[in-house]
This record gives sequence, C-alpha cells and structure tokens, in this order.
Amino acid sequence: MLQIKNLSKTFAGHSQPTLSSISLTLQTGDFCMVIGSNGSGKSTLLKILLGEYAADTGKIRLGDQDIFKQPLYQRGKYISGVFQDVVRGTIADMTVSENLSLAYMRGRKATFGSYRQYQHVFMQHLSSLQMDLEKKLNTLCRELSGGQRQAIAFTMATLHSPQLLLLDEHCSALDPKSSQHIMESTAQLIQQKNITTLMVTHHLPDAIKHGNRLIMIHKGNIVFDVSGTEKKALTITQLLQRFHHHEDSLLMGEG
Amino acid sequence: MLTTWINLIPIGIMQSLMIAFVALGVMIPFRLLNFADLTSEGTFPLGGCLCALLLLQGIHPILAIFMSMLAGGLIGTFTAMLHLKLRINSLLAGIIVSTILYSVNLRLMGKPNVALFNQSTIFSLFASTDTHKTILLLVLNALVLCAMYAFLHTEKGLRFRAVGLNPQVSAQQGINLTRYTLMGLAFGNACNSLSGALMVQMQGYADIGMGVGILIHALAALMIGETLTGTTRLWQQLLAPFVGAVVYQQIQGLVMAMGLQPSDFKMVTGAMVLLTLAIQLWRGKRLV
Repeated sequence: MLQIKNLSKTFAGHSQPTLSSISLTLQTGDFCMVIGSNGSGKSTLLKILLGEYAADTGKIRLGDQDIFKQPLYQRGKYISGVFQDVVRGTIADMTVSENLSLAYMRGRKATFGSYRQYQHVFMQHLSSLQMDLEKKLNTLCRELSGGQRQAIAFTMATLHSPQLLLLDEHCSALDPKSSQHIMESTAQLIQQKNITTLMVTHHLPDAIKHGNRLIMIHKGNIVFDVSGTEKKALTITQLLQRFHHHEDSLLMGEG
Repeated sequence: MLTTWINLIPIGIMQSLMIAFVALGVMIPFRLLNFADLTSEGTFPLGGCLCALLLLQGIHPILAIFMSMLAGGLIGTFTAMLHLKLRINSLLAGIIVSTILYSVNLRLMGKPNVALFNQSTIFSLFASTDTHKTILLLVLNALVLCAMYAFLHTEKGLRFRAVGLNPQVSAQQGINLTRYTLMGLAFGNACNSLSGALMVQMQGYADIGMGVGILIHALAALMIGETLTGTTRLWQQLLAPFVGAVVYQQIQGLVMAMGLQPSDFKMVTGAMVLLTLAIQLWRGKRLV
C-alpha cells in the first residue's frame, strides 16, 4: 500500500510549486492512471516517489516503511520504474542477459557466484512477451530496437514483483504497433501479478481502457480522482472536457 | 643503434611487467568505473616507499607487498570519498591526494631515498636470474588479470561494471554506487602500490621522485594497448594495459637507443599520448 501525504515540491527559481500538498493513497494491486497537461507535476510526482528528486515536505509510506528520506538505490530494492526515455531503462553496453541478471539480483546481496546461472528464468519471462527476445539474450541492448529495449526494461522492472511500479509514458516513444504491444503486456502482467502501479500517460484511450483508478493532476494538485465503476464508465469525451475546463481556467487566470 | 636496442629488450620487458600494474590500476577506475583517477602519481611511490621501509624492518617481502597494496587501496578509497562526499572533481581529488602523499612518503622515509642492502626481496628469494624474474612477473600479471576477469563475471563484478556503464540505471536496480566506486578505486590503487613495491624490490632502493610522470606513462601504455587489443570484449579491455605497457617500454628502448636521454622520456611520453589521441580521433574511435 502506498500512502502519500501533503507532498510539496517547489523547484529553485520557480515562483509556483510544482506539487502543492498532494495526498494520495493506493491499495495493494491498484493500477492508477495519471493524466495531466505538460508541466502539471505528474512526472515530478513519479520522480519523487522513485527517489530521483527530494520533496520539500510531506510523507511517503510504502507498506509499513517511511521511505521519504531513503536514497534512490535503497528504494530501488522495491520500487521499479520504466520511462519514456528508452536509454534510462537498460544499460546499453550490457547484453540482455546481463541487464536481466542485474534486475534478478535486485534487493539482495551480490555473491561471488556467476551471474550467468539464471538464463533459464529469463527465457521463460521473455518468451511470454512473444517478441522473440529469448533468442537475443546475448545481444547488447544498444543493438535492439526501441520497442525491444523497452520490453527488456519492463521485464527488468517486474522480474521480481515490485511493491510499487512507476510507469512514465513508457510507450510514447515507440511506434504505434510496439506501443500497443507493450501496453497490452504491461496491463496483463500488472493484473496477473497484482502490482501496485502508477502510470503517467498522454494517451487517453489507454487511460480509459486500463487500470482501476484515474487521477488528473493540474498545476500541482489532484483535480479529478475516479475509481471502480465510475472509472469504467469514463469516456474520452468526458476526459477531454475535464482537460479543457482546467486549461481554460489556466488561460483566464494568466490572462 | 639496433644492437643497443636489442640489448635493452630484456630489461625493458622486466620493467614493463611491473609498470603493467599501474596501467591496470589506471584502467580499472577509468574504463570500468568511468572515474578518471590520478592518484597513481601518489600511490605508486607510496607502495615503493612503504615497501622499502617494511623490508628494512625485517618484514617478509611478500607480506610487505600486501601491506603496501593495502595502504594504496585505502588511499584510493580516500580519493573516492573526496569525490563522492565532498563533491570534488575526480581529477582534482587525485591531484590533491597525490600532493599530500608526496609529503607523507617523505615523512615515512625520513630522507629522499632509501637503499636496501641485504634485505631479501621476492626476487632474491624466488628468482635470481633475469629470466626467472621475468617469469615471476609474468605469473604475477597472469594471476592478477585472471582474478580480475573472474571477478568481473561474478554477481559483484556485474554490479561493478554496471555502475561504470550507467550509474542511473544501476541505482534503480538497487545498487549502492558509493560502495562499488570505493571498491574500484581501492582495486586500482592497490595495483599502483603493488607496482611501486615490485619496482623497489627489483631496483633495491626507493626514491621520493619515483612517481613523477608515472600516470602519463601508464596512460600512454593503456592507450597504446587499447589501440592494439581493441576494447569491445572484456578480456580485450583487461589485456590492454598489459600489452600496452610491454610495447610502450620497447618504444622507449628504441628512443633511448636513438640517443635520447632518459630525461627526455617525459616529453616523448607526452607526445606519444597526444599522438595516440589524434590517431583515435582520425579513426573516429576516441576513447578519452
């Protein structure tokens, strides 16, 4: 379970806070979509949860731990992320197998044993993606396509079910076909493994189709929050209306 | 000229088999961790001075080597901490530590040079002839390279490489970057001190000035080696400092046979480094 309380962040040199006192609670297994216009603060929220940025004030609890002050690498043991930027998900100069080994060893001490003993585990995971990646275990990641690298990054993030999975437009830099394939595999695995997930997306059909909860962030605040049947009944038109409502208020406020 | 050069070959090979450890000590942080470490300029003479002192105290030469390596390794972690915790540029951190070590080395010895007279060394104990010395050094090189190769194929070694290749992804994979950076700088500088300790046991004296220019020498060797062996595979990268040190020493022998003075070597080495960099640029494979 994820509990965020009054999380605030103002970047140096900005007069407005990027996040102004955001609170959000996710139950275990919740798959929550995060939408909002550019600069709304949604990526900042994910980066704070990941440990890449430090928030100014607030509380973050994951399970029974207070993780507010934990550095990135400690959170890395139970929080995974996949990002829009393909380069950030895998190590380009390592093979697929080496990358997956790093993910497989996550959260425990490294030993003086060989890292090559887990290949059969990776074969299983990769073949379930149906992208023929199990044949590329010894290929350097830099030689893979964007979609393939993102699939590896996603496999790395979910190899051990993380307590919290953060997806930041992880399909948006891919061609439509790969994008859809990765999104479908993502949704399927999250449901199957019951992983608590926050997913930022600009692709509204995905936001409608997947997940059991949806929040809209605007100017650092959560302005819309639906779940369950209400979320299921949501349509793109309704969402667009919400967007326009806030964009207009933004324009008027600044005009 | 040719005969002079040929006469210099065996001694050159012995020298280079010792300097290969500095080239390795420079390569490990630089290539595997992406951390440009200049501490060799201080940890190489530290290894030498400390080893000389320990031998004079009657310590067994093998133990003296290990203790020198330990000291070098600790200094390496100090440089790493300056960079990681005080946020000092890695190059500057290395220069500062080397400068400090100059005084420390002088303090340790109490005078600018210390001669070993009848103290036993690993060479006097295990290898009396030049051929035996060369074989002993070759075996040492092989041992260290094999150990390093094996380490890089363990889980710890994989994390170590990951930190150098992509710190951001590594941290997300739960890897403690500080720990592995400390480890790499300790490895590298233990190698540097090992080289200094071997050098002192070979030549029979330690000198405060023995480290001057060693970094550029090692860098020249490393870059020549990388040009020859390539760097795509791990074993190529590991072999590069060794091959480069041997080849570079022979180039120096040639230069000496052509009538240049040993005092001209620093200039030659500098020119060599610049030339290698230029060649790499023209071939579109710049590594530095």
